[in-house]
Order: sequence, then C-alpha cells, then structure tokens
Amino acid sequence: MIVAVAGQDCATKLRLRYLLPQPVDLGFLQGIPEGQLQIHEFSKFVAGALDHFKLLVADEYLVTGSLGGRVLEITYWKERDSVADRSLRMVEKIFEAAGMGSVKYVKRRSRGDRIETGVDRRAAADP
Amino acid sequence: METIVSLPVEMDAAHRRHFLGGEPIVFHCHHYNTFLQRSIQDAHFIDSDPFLIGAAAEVAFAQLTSLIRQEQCSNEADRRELAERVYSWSGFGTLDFSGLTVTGGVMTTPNSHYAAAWNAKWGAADRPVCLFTSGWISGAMSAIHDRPLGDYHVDHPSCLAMDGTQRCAFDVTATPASYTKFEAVGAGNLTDHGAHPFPCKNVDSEGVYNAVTSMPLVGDATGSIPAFGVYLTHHYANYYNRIGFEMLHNAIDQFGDEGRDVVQPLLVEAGHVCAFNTFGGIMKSSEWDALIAPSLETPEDWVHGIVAVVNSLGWGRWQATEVSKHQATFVVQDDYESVGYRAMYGNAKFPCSYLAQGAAAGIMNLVYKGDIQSRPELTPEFYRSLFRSHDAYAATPLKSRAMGDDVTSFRVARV
Repeated sequence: MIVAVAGQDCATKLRLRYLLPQPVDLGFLQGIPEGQLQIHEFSKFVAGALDHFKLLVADEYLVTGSLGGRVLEITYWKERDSVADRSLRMVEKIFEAAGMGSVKYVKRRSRGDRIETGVDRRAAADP
Repeated sequence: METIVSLPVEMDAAHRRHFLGGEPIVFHCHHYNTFLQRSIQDAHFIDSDPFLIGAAAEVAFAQLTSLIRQEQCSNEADRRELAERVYSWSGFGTLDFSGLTVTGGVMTTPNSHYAAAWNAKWGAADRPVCLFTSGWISGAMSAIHDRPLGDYHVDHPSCLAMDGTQRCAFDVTATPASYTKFEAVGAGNLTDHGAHPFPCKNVDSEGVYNAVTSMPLVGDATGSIPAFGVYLTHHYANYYNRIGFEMLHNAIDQFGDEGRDVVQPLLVEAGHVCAFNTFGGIMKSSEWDALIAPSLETPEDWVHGIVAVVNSLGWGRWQATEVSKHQATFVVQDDYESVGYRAMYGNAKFPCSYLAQGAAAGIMNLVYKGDIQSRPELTPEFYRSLFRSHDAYAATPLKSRAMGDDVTSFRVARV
C-alpha cells in the first residue's frame, strides 16, 4: 500500500507526498508515459548522497524524489481546487501497474502544523 | 525537460558569487521578491515607484548592454531574442519583444513571476504589481536600440495579479522615462579570502556547492524555475540592494535616525520571510532529502547543511563558525549587500546586511525552534509562532563589510 500525504506548494498547487512500499528505480520512472526525465547525479559530488530526479508530465504534474528512496513528491500543475480526479487516478494506475498497490490518502491536522501519520521521514527516505 | 538555452554565467567559486553580463546575480524565491516589494510600497511616506522601476532598468540595461557586446549581437532581432532569453532564463516569466519597434509599442505576456507570486501570496492585487518588469523592459529597450538609459517610458495598465486579467500588458513609448536613473556598479570590490573553519564533519560543503551549482536551475518554457519546493529567480543583487538602500536613505532623509529605525526592521523581516520560505522549502525538498539529509545526524548538522546550500545561491561565502541551540555565529565574506552598498554609496555608517541578518536568525529559528526536521507546514501561523514570539532567535551584527570590516558577521541568540 502507498500512503499519500497532502500538502501544498508555495504557489497553491496541490502537492502529494507518496510513501512507497519499495524503492524508486530508473525502470519505474521510465515507465511513466510522456514523462520528461532529468537526473541530478548528486552521488558523484557527495559521498552517501542519492541521485535525484525530476520527471515532468507536461500540463499534468511534476514528480521528484531520490533514486533508491521510497518517497515521491508529486506537484499537480493545476491549482489545488481544480486538480481533476483524472490526474490522481492516472498516477494511481501507474503505481498499480508497478505492483505497488493502492493509495491511502491521509489528512493533516486542522491547524496544518504536523503530518499526523508520524511517519519518520528519514526511515521513509532510506532505501 | 524543456529549458531555456543557457547563458554565459560566470560562477565565481572563490567568492561564492555568480555573474551574468557583469551583473551579480543571486537566487531568491517569490516570497522574498514580493514581500520586499510590498514592504517598500506599504511605506506610504516614501515615493517608491521611481526607484522600484529605475533599479530594474539600471540592471537590465547594464547587463544586456554587456551581453550584447559579449555575444556580438549586431542586429535588432538577435538582441530582442537575447533579452527574451535572459528574462525567461532568470525565472521572471516570458516576454516577447517582436511587437516592439524603436519607437515602442505594446507588449503582453501570460507569464509573470511577480504577478503569479503576488496572487499566490496575497490574492488579487488592486493595482498592477510588475514594476520590476516595467523597468526591465525600459532598460532592455535602451540596450537593444543603443539608446541611453531612460529613453523609454513603460506604462503597465493591466496585470495578471489583478482579478479577471489574463495577461500583463506594457505600453512602451520612446519618451523620457519618469523613473530614477541610477548608474550600475556591477560586481563591486570583492576580497581575497580563505574559508573560515567551521565545526562540522558530516556536511561536505564543497561537494554540496558543486552539486547544487551543477543543477540546471533555469527558467522553463513559461519562464518559471520550480526547485527546492519553491519558485526561484536568478535575480539581480544590485536590484535588491538599490531598492532596499534607497528606501532606507529616503526614510533617513525625511526622519533622520527615526526613519532608519522604522525601515531597518522591515528589511530584516524580509530576510526572515526569505529564510522561512526559501530555506524551509529547501530543507523539506526532495533535493535536500537526496543530497544532504543522508549525512545529517544532529540539529547542528542541519544548520551547516543549509549554510552549504546558501553558498550555492550567489550570496557570498557563508560559514557558521559556532553553532549550538543556545547561539550561533555566522561569518559571511563578500556578502552581496555590503559589496553593493560600498559600490553604490561608499562606506556605510552602520551595518546594512539586512537580508543576511534576517536569514541567519531564520536558520536558527527553523532548526531549533521550528523543528524543521519534522517537516512542518510553512504556514503564516507557523511563521508568526517562530519569529514573533518572546523566545525567537534574533541576529545581532558583529562586523560589517559595508562599514569597512574584513567580513560581515552576526551572533544569533534567543531574544
């Protein structure tokens, strides 16, 4: 199962942080239809660093994360209130096709200060 | 991923400064850009439009004049294309000069960093907000047509930041501009220096600098740079310097020390806003998780980690030479505010690195008070709880390069 925590980027677009059951690899990213992939090879510069990726699906969403990590951040390109279910379903299908299971959406506290799942971000990011 | 064609940026690693067309450029995000502009405009006792527009014309004219020479753009079409490329690459949005002639014309655009930022931050504006772009177009037109700075007047009748508007519009006429004309100062005098030692084994500052500066952080097809969870711009250090210092001098001219006492906290608060949103966004970003988070063990490491990133922003060489939850000392060499002040006005009579002062305090508030490690939402309420409470960290200047000291430095402690 995938846990998705809703957030908001600083320009009021919807950003979801997906905690995946398995690490992200290049094959998974290359399987995303119409994605324009950019890899930042941080591991070449800093010992212990992971390589970072940005994958843009034009007019739909931007996916970022670490190769080998278990967190995907997806910023949906449309304004938060007008993100179509279609876009969310499109992403869910990609996860299902990769055998990662369904997505459980988690809300934040009403004051919005902390993620209520209490997920340890380092544990989530570690491969 | 579609990006604008690259430009001849000079990465001066020795000074941690970046230059394009002789102008020092720095990364800042839309929160700082709009907060600073609004802080200046909200000071109603100051007639700020002339210098908000004039400062943009100053840097655009100087930079493009230099780039046109450097790139050997002899014809008008090449110069227009270069101007469009610089503007989009910088993350300011998009401009199309093709409808303008030597006598002017009307330009419209559906992409504006300042307008989108204003809308996102404060909702619909009650008047056009793209003063920077107005000045930039004026300066660019002078450079494109080999005319003196100030030969083009730009009206900005409609703006995307206003309700019901789909495009920003700019009316350009070849008549004397009404803004203040400033002489560009370029890079200013930088120091010969080595790095100060700082107590951190876990953060590879040099590696972080090399990694971040290798990233293609340039405008996309809409002239936008989404990175580190924020929207960045390659902005002009001397634009920020000019508008902040003109505001300060104007207040001092009118009210003496009391004017200074009113303006200084506003400029420091702009630094707090920058730290909170930009540094907070960076420390919650996927880039941070990949590049820096794997090596962090202690809260002090988080301070050194974000300082390593700051060194990649073109702001000068930053070091946290002492860090604990009780206090920290930040030493900055060639900070862009001090260098700019001295180049524009000579030695300062008081410390004036306000962005750096606010940013240093902001780092401590994020790490030790805000527990940024737990990924809090960066809301206005959270900002107030960090920076406006009785136990917030604040920075006190120790040295000022603007006043002639060898470095700029701050001690940061709880108030």
